[in-house]
Amino acid sequence: MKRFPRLGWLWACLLWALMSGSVWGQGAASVPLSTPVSNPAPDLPQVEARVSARTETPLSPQAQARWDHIAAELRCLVCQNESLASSNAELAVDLRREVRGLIDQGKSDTEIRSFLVSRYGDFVLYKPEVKPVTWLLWFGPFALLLLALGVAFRLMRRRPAAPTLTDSERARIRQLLEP
Amino acid sequence: MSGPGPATAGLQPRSMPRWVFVPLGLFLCLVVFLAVGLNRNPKEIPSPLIGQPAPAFSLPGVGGAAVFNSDQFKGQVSVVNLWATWCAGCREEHPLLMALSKQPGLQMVGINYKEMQASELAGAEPMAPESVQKATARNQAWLQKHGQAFAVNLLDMDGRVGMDFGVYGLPETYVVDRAGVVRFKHAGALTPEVLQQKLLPLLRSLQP
Repeated sequence: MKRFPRLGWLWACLLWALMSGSVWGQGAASVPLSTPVSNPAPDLPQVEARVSARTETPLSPQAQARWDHIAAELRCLVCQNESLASSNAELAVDLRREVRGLIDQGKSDTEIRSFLVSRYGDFVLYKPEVKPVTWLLWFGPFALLLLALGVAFRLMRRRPAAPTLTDSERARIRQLLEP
Repeated sequence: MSGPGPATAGLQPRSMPRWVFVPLGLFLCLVVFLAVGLNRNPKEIPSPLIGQPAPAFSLPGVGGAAVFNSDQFKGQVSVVNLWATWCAGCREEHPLLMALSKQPGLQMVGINYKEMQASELAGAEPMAPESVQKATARNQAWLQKHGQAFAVNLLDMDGRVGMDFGVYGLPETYVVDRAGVVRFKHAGALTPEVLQQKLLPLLRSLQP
């Protein structure tokens, strides 16, 4: 009989778990910052550890600052957990050279980003653009949070107030409790 | 327990409202989404090229063959395969490409992507004549051994054309329709299943 008010708290807890789970889940499903790379595919260009050190010339400080700003937000497509700046995969080396070329040509950050997105899709961006396709990704967790809070508030408000007893009821209780 | 009297009216259990099960429903939804998400292959990246015109390029044919220009996609359905002799998956899928090459009315375009990798070039230019020569020899020997699947056999030494196609691993296979629009991409070695379930039905639907 009295179980029901407590059920409210139970659901509130479950909702909280659901909510935090979904925030995590969304992140993991769409932006796998930490997806474990299981069995490296044999058909990808081989990773050459020393290639970058040998062929990449240092940038001017100004270009370097822009490079740091742009490349850290770009994902390497071969080693998906690495940014383009840190990866030593051959494709990353090529793309770095390309992005450096674009910086030298004085292209804007947006132009450089769209160069990559037009070839590899939103997937190359660790922070995808906010647009209708990515609304669910950006706002989904917050929508779920609001929904959960709404439900939780409703549940807690509905907790039945303590019953008011009439005098005769009080007398009856006293009679029952004090034999 | 005795029946409800007026004294206990305030403590009456209301019948459980239906919305009590809403969180459970949401939770089950989440479980389904996560189950689907976890079972997806992170290597399969949707290509933004699908439905777009194929990237414009022109590449020399291997061994002095004519230059191929991307305008030549127009007018017939093409299968574009990006491969290299150093790629194991390419060897694996080659019999399927051989089978495809026997289909009538299909232009088979092989783009030999970065035959000479940075480690082999050791700082040399990929377009240098000796690099091209070495790549050509390897390309021809490989196709001799595994089968001439490509009517159009091109060398992409510096990987620029591959980059325009959005290549991130070899092999990759694209289908370009008669209007020069990319209709399909498969990353990784082709399998008989992919061929039967996706590629062949698409090719059939693209034929006039």
